[in-house]
Amino acid sequence: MKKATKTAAEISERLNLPVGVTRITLAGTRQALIEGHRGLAGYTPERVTVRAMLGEVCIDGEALTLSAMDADALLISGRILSVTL
Amino acid sequence: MRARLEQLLRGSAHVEISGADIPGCLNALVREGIECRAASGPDAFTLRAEIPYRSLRAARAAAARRNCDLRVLRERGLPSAAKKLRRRLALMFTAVIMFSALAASSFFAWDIDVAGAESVPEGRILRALAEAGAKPGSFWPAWDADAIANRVLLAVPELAWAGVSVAGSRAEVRVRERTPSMEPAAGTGSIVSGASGIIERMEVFFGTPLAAVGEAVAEGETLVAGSVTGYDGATEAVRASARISARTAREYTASAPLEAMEPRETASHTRWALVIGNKRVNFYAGSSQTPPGCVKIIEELPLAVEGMFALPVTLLRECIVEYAFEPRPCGADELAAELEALLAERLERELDGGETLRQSFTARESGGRLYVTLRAECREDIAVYLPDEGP
Repeated sequence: MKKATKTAAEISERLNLPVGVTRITLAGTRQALIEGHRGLAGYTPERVTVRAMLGEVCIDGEALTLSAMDADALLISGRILSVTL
Repeated sequence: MRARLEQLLRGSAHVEISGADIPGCLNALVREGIECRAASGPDAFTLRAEIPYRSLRAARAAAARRNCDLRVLRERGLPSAAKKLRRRLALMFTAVIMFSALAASSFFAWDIDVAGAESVPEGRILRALAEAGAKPGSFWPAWDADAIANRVLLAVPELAWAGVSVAGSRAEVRVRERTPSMEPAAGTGSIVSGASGIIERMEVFFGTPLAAVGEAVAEGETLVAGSVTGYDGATEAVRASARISARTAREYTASAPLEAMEPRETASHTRWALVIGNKRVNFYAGSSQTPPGCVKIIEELPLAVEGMFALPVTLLRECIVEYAFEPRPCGADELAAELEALLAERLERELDGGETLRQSFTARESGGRLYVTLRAECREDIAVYLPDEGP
């Protein structure tokens, strides 16, 4: 298992891809995709707090919903006003 | 579309999770491999989300571990429908019986349509079909289409061709009638005048002309004799043939009462009957005959889908309407216009290819009736063949 993780890390490094980071992709102010999260820390329609690799990501907005959520990615929809790291 | 179909097949459940640690509960669900969709909540202690139907039990357990309550709001998709149906055995049984009956009924021809018959009555063809074994309710896979067509052709000699095709429980019989023989008509005779008038043009194809252009002739007068005289002086009887155009005068009169009897609905009631095959079941007492002074409006509601299948069950809705007739005065102008239209139609019909040169209408009232007279000057073919009387 450790060997496989190490190999994946090596490949990512060779391809200049970030490894072990949380990636946040904003699609305008309507959607935010958070990949590589560590779980949800808080949820209200006005604020979603997501645990990231190095701390928490706080997304403030209006009528926020978790459109889809699985172990790796989280899609937040609504009117996003700010993203705080 | 594909995703929606997949979701429908997999099934989903809309759940409401309530508790103190909603994020923790969501994390627990995700850790269990349960995908959450469309999660939203009115407050920090309640969350509504859509999860796969198969993960419902695991989600409930995970929520319980986080001291949260999971309540199912709605279930969608095939798995939940199947689960509900398992509890409704009678419904399933009925559905199976219905589908079986439908499948079995498609092997029987419940509806037989005849197409292409113009002069031969449809009922005669249907009787011939029934005698050949193709009658409503018969098992159509046992039919021999060629044998049936041949038997119909033998039974109805006016038909030149017949073909049988079956689609579902509906059989279509296409027929072609024999075209009349084009042989010249036999017998001898003369051409007489069909109407009084002045001859404007004569085209005599066969026979001896007895009238000339410009002459006035009376109705029934012989215009072309059905005999010809040879070079040797011998006279031979022939079938005269001619086209004689003449200027004629026609006069038609039509009348109608100035006070018409108008029906007024006094009462009505509805009754029902069911026709299963050839059997009729009335859901009312007494005769199915229409009472005197009443009109029966029948609405047929067959258990069928047009063009696909038909079951031998038809619900009949009979509306019996009773009428009383009351006198109603008619406007003379409107009535005159109606009668004029009728007379003009009659003139056109009786002219049969001729033309109207001039026409005028006159109207008069007498004895409570309106009389309208049409006088017309026409140009028409007045030649009428009159066969010779036998020896």
